[in-house]
Amino acid sequence: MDFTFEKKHELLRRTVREFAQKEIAPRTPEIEETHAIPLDLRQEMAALGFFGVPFPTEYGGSGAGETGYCILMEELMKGNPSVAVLVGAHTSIGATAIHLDGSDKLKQKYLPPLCRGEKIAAFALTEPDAGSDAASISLSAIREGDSYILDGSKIWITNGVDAEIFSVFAVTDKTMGYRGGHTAFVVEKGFPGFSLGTVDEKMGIVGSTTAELVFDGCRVPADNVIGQVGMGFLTAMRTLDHGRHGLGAGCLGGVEGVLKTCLEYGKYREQFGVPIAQKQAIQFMIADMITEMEALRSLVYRVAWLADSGRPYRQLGGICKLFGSEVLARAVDRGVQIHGALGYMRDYPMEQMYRDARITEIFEGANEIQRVVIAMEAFRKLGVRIEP
Amino acid sequence: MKVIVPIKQVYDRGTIRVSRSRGILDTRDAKLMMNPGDRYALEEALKLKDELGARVVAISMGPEEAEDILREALAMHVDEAVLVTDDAFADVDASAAAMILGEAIKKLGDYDLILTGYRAAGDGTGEFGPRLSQYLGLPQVLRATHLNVDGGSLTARRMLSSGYAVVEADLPVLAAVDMGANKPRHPSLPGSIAAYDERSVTVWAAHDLGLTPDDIAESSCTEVRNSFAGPERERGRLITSSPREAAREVLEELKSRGLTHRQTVG
Repeated sequence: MDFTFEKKHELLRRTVREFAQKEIAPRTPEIEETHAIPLDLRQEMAALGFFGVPFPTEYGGSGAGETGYCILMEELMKGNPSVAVLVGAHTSIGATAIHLDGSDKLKQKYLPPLCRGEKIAAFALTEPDAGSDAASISLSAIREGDSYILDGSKIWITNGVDAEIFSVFAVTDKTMGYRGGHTAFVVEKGFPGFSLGTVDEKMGIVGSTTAELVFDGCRVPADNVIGQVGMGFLTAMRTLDHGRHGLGAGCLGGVEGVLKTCLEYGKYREQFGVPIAQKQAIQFMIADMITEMEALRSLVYRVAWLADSGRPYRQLGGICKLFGSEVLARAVDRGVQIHGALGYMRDYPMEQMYRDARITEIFEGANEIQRVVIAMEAFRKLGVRIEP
Repeated sequence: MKVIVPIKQVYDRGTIRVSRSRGILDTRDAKLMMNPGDRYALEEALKLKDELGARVVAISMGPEEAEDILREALAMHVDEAVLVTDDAFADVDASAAAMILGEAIKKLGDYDLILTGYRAAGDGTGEFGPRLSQYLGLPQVLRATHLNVDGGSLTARRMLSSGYAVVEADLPVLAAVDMGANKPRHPSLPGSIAAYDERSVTVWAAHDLGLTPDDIAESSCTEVRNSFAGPERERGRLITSSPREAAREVLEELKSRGLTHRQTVG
């Protein structure tokens, strides 16, 4: 057993960390104020290859695998969570749906501009009546000659405003339900009948855009079906399974950021004549944070190693997302408490960390669903079938 | 057009501890990195690659670990990387280093430009560039900024203590690029992975350069007799009062030393 990173991944980490600290983190006030990621920053990141890290070099990616992708998410989260979410949703779900199940032709057409960051991807599954219950989508896709006509809407789509390429899940056969009746499509922003609906205002990660997508007789070429007609639900689930350890890695970076902020504060803030670092109440919170952070680190990179070595990791990926988001939630909660009133004030970083962290327990499969899936898998081995 | 950039691996200053009792730098936990000054030289070279299609060769002398900074240079898309390493090269001075790298550069064949950093974060003598130009018989431009290669010559600003001189030299020439001459680029992410997966570093030892321990001893001219920690600075006055009170105290202190003056606005 060997827990060391390869040299290439060490260099990748140094590179991303340096960029995140020097070029991304200082833009945070601007991102918070404008609720957008500055275009020049996005372009610089695109030129350096931030948008294709895990994908093979033949498509213009870095070929850094899932280990490289986890390193990217860990370091980006410390730079700015909105930027991490832009890259995360683009890479691990938006473009991954195409990479996992798309035809060679589809991959050749869409992955290179996505890897180069010339275009941003998004993953469009959620609908008003289909959140955790993703099998209940109703966006319809009806075949008409060489095209499909899409009607309906998607909501809360991460990267909605920034994206030009959408992996969209629709119902092609109502009678079949999700087993054989759902199909995945690549939809371009410019396709006739596609438009943006409501752009949502959020509690946190305000630089990441979230929007409603409206399909009003949207014509999509039949060549843009991802995988096979009727197999869309499987593509959606496989894609989400694929993205979860990256989210865990982002949470790991988030905890590292909280810890650093708390350690600095504990060193300087004096009460009762001594720095609060001397107080056991603070020490215990810091110790718990570090303990959970190290457990999370082991989990994240174990999953990355499983993925890169071609071993199954589906269940552990979900555990990674579940555990990571809750470790981060506890860390930001303790972080605010350690900072006292300062932790509640907009002028100090803890307040933003607290708001930004909350979404990780919800998106890419709410934690309740993760728990159900974990239990489902455990009982399945005993022959007990559980319906979510 | 070929541009050679000698780069050096140094300790990250922030990670070195000074042991005053033993009069040494404790580098056991220190991290290694590319000399920050060399990044400006690399950037100038890579700009020439982008603009004129120059071929850029990064070369470094050091222990085997120095390969890391050459891989980083590969990740910035230099065309070739050469590591000159041998036990006989350990702890050599700037004079011997210039001779060793001078021989390695000769082995690389014809070149048009050698770009170095102005000074290394390690010893900070700033001797390497001038000594290398002397060894190779090249004109030198120290503390160079605004480099421009046109036809067969280099024009650059040579920074002086107040102002600058514009100098021109026929190629081949050596320029020691000043700190802050440009904004050094970040390595690319595909480049970082390819630096290990696809690229290679050429490694040369003393015998590859036809050098013997005697050659190295003869070209050395520095003898280290002692090393000691500099005088400890007196701790300044620490103001610990509340922000409002502290600001008032700072202002009083500045005023009492005549460091402020009243300016009428409007």
